[in-house]
Amino acid sequence: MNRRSLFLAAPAIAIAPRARAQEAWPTRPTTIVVPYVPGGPSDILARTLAQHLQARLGQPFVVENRTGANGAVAAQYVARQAPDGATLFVAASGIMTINPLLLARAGYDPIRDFTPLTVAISAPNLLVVNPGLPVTTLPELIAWMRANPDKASYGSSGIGSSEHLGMELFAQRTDTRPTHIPYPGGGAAATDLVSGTLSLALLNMATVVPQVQAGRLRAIAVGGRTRHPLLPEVPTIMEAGLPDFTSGSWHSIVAPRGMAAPLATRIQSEVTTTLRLPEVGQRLAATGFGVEASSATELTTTIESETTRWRDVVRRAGIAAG
Amino acid sequence: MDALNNLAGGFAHVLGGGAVWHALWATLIGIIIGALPGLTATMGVALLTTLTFGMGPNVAMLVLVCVYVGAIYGGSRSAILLNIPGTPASAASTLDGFPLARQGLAGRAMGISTSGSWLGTLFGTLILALFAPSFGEFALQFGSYEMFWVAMFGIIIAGSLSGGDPLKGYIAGFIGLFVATIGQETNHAYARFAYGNGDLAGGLGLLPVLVGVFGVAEVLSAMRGPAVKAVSSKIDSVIPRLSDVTKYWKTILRSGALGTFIGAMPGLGEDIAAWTSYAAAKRASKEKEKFGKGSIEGLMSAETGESACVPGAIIPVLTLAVPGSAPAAVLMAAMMIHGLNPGPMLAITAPEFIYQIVAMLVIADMVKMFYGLVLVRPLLWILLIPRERLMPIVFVLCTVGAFAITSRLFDIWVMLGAGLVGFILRELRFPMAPLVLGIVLGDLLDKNLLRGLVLSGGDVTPFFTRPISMGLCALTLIAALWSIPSVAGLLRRRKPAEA
Repeated sequence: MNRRSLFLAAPAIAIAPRARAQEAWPTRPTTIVVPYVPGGPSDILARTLAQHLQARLGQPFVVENRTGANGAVAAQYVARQAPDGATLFVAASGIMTINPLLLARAGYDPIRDFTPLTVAISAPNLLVVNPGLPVTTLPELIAWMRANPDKASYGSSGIGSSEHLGMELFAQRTDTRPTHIPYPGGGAAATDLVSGTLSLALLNMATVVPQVQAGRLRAIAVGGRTRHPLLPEVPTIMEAGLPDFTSGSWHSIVAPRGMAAPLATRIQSEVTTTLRLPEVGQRLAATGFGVEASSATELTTTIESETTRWRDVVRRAGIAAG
Repeated sequence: MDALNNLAGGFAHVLGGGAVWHALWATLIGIIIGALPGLTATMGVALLTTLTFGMGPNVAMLVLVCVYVGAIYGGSRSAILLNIPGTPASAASTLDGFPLARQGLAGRAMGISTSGSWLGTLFGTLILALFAPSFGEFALQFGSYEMFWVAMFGIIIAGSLSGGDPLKGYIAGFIGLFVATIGQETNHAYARFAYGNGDLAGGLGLLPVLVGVFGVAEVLSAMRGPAVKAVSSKIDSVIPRLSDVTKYWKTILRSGALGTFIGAMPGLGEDIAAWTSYAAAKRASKEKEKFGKGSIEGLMSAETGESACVPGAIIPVLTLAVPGSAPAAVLMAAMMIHGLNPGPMLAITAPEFIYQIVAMLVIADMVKMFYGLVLVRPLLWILLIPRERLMPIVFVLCTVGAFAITSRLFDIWVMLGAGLVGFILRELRFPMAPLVLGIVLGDLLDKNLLRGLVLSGGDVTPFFTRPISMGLCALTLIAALWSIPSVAGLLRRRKPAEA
């Protein structure tokens, strides 16, 4: 299940560079900071990495969940730590790209405050509609949305989520005006989509695949660069007619800023090697995410290009989240 | 016969490889997590999810189901003994559980709680085994418009929960509703009553407020009053009484059905199940005046309702991949991690899994009963600790609990503030139940009203014209009329004439 990049803006070229003179791993226990509560994809990523890295390196790895303020609490904390390898951070795409745009004072800078290591895992969003809608393809959906502006409503897992901004971008690109209904999570949005309260949504793969397979939701297109192995018959949004349109979310691994290059390379290589283990890929696939294990440069490029893209979407849509 | 075979297969599958041992430790951890104020069932299941990575899917699910069942039950230990609900689900259990404990009947109260909870989970599990698919489908019919009426109905009922002065009950309820509106509005993140403060814009969490108005206020009350000796319980009978069950079988059935149904509805959880069952029991009871003063029926209904909600909440997980409550959402995530794909496809890909879950719930319920019998005596010692020594410990636990949810210092201030307000209101004889219910339902009412209005483009007619909406609206109106004494009198007088 070692799926390559599904939607990342940067082309997937790099395989982790092999560190020739291996930098010694720090002898102190390493804390992997998770910005959300236990049980979610970022937590599972951290714990899977901790389990394998501990066995590989013979060093204790501790997972610490520091929740609050949509991840800002954890980001601010990590930004203040020493870049000695004792602190790593599972930084989700929202924390690295969207939050700083929406929050008046996020209290951290995604580029300046961290040493980038790798885009660890990613998952595309899936464009789904209620099966009662008389559409099966993207052009039909767009035509329907234009003909029924008062009926077209979409759900998301919250204001400022990739699902919300992705749909805003979709609306701006297709000149449609669907009504946004935020929910306290993608699952609740999917429920209202199944029952027909909502007409469409761009939701995380893992949330909607069971419903699509059971015929309770109709998949129109997938937001990745390539088709998804779970739904190979569903075209990408780009194939279906919107060039250069991707939507999804990812989790990266970063360290506090100013980490020495040899140490960063060593950690990047250990983390990506672990991510490429088949059993690790399998465990993570259960969360709906595929392994990326990208280079550090790719992470930086991704953060920069997505920030630019979302800044424009947020400005044009006039979104603010306090 | 096929179903029986499947069920037997489910038990055989689950009961192997030290299953009993796993069920024993996991349920105990659940009870402890539930009993500690601030640590919720959701948190317990989430924490254990990460610990069950290395286990096989079977054992992992058994452990998580046991933690869930245990935590919901455990919450009423502290509700009965200390007047502090261990989880939001147990808030309704304080109303009659604590008065019973004060009358020296703590052991009996815990016995009632055990039998009510045991039967509740069993009842819900039976519904799960028999009607899972159709139940799930019906729950799906409840959209924002219907949820609005569910909340509205609850608020009308809330007035009747206050023993004593109904006016004070409504005032407390409206304070709760107001608290629920603090923070960002759901559709456009517009900050209400935040005064530019980022923490207030995030809203006041249910848990810190709950721990405050029950926990801190209780500590303050205990410190203020003269040393009350009443709670040094004569260790009364701790064995659940069969007569309690047989006498209130109607209440148990009603609460079980309500709890299971509320559990199956996405967005409603154990707390609302307990409140609804309690309110329904009070309405139907012949001994209304005992409610709030140590009614066995009241405690039984709350306990049965919250525990029946657990299997209820698992129904839509299995049939629709839609969790019925917050802990069930984490449980569903854990199922996915272990490669068990819950949802509509389950009936095709792994129909036996539903029966395995049934078996796990039954095992967890049995283990819960076991602890209910052996843990009562040790727990009663808590009552023998002098209050001046116990209360500081409780205060520390409250603070830790309020902080643990999101690790925000702000939540501790909320807890202290809510505690102070709760203490003052309590001294002025305002009931706490409508206040808490106002917060729980206010959130539901507010979100669904706004979401429904955005969906309909500002049109209010769907609230009245959709079939289920219409029924719920009528029910709410009747409940409202019923609470006006003269109207209720008219209705009552007509009844015998008809009969």
